[in-house]
Amino acid sequence: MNVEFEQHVLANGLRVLLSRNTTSPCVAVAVYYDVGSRNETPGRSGFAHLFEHMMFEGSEHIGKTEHMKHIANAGGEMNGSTSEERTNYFEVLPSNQLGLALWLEADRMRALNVTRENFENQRATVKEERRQSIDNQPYGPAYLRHRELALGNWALGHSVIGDMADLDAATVEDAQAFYRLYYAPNNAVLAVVGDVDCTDALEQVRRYFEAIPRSEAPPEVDTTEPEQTAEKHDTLSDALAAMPGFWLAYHAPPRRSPDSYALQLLQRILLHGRSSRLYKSLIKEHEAAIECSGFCGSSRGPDLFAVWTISKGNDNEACKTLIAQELKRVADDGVSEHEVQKAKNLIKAQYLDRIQTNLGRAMVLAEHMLYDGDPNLVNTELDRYLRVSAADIQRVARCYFGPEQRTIVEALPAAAAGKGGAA
Amino acid sequence: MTGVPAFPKTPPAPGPAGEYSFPPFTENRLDNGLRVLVCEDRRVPRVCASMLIATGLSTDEQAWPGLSAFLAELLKEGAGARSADEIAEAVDFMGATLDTGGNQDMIQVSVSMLEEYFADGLGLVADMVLEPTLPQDELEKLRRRELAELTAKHAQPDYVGRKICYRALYGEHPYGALDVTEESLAAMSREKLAAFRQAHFDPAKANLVVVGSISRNEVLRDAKSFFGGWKTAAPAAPGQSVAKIPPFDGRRVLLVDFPNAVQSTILIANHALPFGHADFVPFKVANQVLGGSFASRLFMNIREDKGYTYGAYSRPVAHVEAGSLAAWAAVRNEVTGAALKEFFYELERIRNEHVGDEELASAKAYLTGIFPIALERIEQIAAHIVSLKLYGLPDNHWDTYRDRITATTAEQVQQLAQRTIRPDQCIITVVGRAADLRPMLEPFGPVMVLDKTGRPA
Repeated sequence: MNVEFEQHVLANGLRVLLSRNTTSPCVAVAVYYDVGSRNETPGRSGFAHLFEHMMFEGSEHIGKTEHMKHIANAGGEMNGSTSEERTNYFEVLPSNQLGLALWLEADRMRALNVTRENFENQRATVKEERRQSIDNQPYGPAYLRHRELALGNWALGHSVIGDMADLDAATVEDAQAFYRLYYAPNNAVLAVVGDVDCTDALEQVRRYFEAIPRSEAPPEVDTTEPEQTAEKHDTLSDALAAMPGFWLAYHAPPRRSPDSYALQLLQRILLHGRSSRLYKSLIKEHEAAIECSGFCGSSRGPDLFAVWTISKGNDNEACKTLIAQELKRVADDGVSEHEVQKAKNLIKAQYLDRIQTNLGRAMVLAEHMLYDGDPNLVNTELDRYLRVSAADIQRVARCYFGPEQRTIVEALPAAAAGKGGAA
Repeated sequence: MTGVPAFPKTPPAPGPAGEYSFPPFTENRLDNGLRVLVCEDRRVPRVCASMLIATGLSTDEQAWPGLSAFLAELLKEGAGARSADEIAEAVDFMGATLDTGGNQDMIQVSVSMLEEYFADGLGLVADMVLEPTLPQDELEKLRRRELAELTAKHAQPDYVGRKICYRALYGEHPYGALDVTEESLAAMSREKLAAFRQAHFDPAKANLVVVGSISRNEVLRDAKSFFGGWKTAAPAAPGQSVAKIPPFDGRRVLLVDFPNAVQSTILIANHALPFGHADFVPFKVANQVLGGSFASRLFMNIREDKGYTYGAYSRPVAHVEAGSLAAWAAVRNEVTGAALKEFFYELERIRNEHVGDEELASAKAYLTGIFPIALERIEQIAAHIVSLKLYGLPDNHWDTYRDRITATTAEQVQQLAQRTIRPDQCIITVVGRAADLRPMLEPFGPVMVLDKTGRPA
């Protein structure tokens, strides 16, 4: 597989990636702004995400809700999302509607219309989003708490969705200042992938985006993470949970550092699929858990290697012990060549699955440009994973999973809280 | 903003639309009746193989809700010469995903894999479908796991809401059971599962759909080798359900008490059309106007105008024998009554007023435009081909789909809305704090308060 693409930088600093893919008469447009929750300040948690909603509420030539209607009328999909690292906006449309998507994206980059009324409406919407996805879900608060406790750096550790009190405290003026600082062409990457002629697409990009002025460079984010010298632990009473669960987290290194590839493979060996070590141990052999999943983050700053477990039989302790045993087994005895090959096959399949769609391809290109400054990693990054050895994996297991590096956040059903999980 | 001259005030007109047709596939039959449908798609070196068995579960399985799903899960726990661990190992080594599932109309076993493992993956499907060992120890483990999962699921408001709503909608008909119950789990036995498999796993009722980086000849060669010896069982007696779908009269409010909820989860549903119904395509247009996307009426009203919710939508839910129209949102407690009022305003409006030209054109453009976008992945293509066979649709259904969307008129939309969107004949399920909510819900119909298991509270 080789994804061919063109790379351009406009005079105002907008980085542009164009890739032709003629398998269907569709095109994906993705705009990535280099702003996420990491750019927020204490007391303003949740702001980047709240602001993301404002980008759909109107600009100079587009009234409230019209962005969505334009895209629907054209037969397309659209959305946006915010993470710790970035905010993205995207449309997938019939390819003859590329101009519409570019015009809409350019208009809100150049002249967003932030009104008080829309701001109030979207603040209410975001609070419902928080209730729906976090507060009204079993284990929702524990998910937020584990990251907050595990990362000592506030910028990286606080939640993307934000605290209700901070959402209440946000102002329209904050939104306007935030927009001016972060939503500028020099802070963005634009990727266009699909059934388009790249020369024509670039001409259209220039027509709509080139006159947008650049802004000052946003301040750097301090990503230094204090070294963890003792285990951290917290217990939450969860009124919605029926069974006890817990997050268990260790620090993970920044993306593209040599250790991060080995940890990503180890994450698959431990947690992906029914042949993974933790599934086999916790769920099949010992029947100690009904769920065991997790992730290894790969942001530009320090991130987390985290495991989530819902315990069977009201016993978090048994699960913690089994997880610790498996991590120790990797550190002591390493992993087999077969397991390494299996993890590599999986990474390859996941990569192919992702670049199958125009939008997936646009996102991969934009992410490598924004985070790594090298969009061609879409074609070469897989090789870095395929070069990892079993010895590399054993080394990172020894290095990252020390007892003092561990953070645990337990969620206990409200009735059992305070009884140490034994119910 | 100043200093940005000549930015056009209106968006550019679209260029000429590109051509699109549903990916071509071939239909082949083995001597034993097994249909093999192949779509060669070389975009990425992956292949998806999906075996679909129309089980006819709805004939006799009233007492065993969730049996087909339980069986589908147990297929992974031992087949041919392989143990559960060996199956898991084989799947993961291929970089594959294995999905087995069952609902009231089918059992499906699907594997997506890197192209170099196609024969291995198909062999695995064959083992699971033809020679599941249904080992007793794994059955017991699965029973214990599902029982614990059921406890966990009963803490999720949307799961509980759906389960209670569909039981109310379909009564004792198997469609009323969305999942296993504690009672059916306790009753699952190896003999029962084996007998069910024996009666329903039949090549004449099965379809193998393969999409991806592989040729028809390769697929047929391997399909013959793995499935050629599969014998047709004695013809079972498939057909319509013994239990009838209950007729409906009036409107009922089921208030499910979650004293700790911080939000109300609303689900409104009424009987509508089955998937294979001739009017199903224009029905999708009517739904699109009502609540099919972010630009539809429910979203625009309840989220964008009122700010009550993160999202409000509606959707046709269809099976072989029946279908429903479901509308939903999660809203904060204090606006639950106000949100329901807006739901019913929209449910009535689409029945009582002709949809405007612009809004109709938008709904049709949306559905036709996203059709190729929703077919970019091989798994999505496979699912569309599967649905042709499962719901007995004509082979050219997806070829003519966009034309039929485009041909839908405002008269049809209103007429279908009156038949399929029935605010006076629906179940309103609200999961939340009953003590607070009850007074808000009483204006909408007789309220029955239930606990999480669906029993009167």
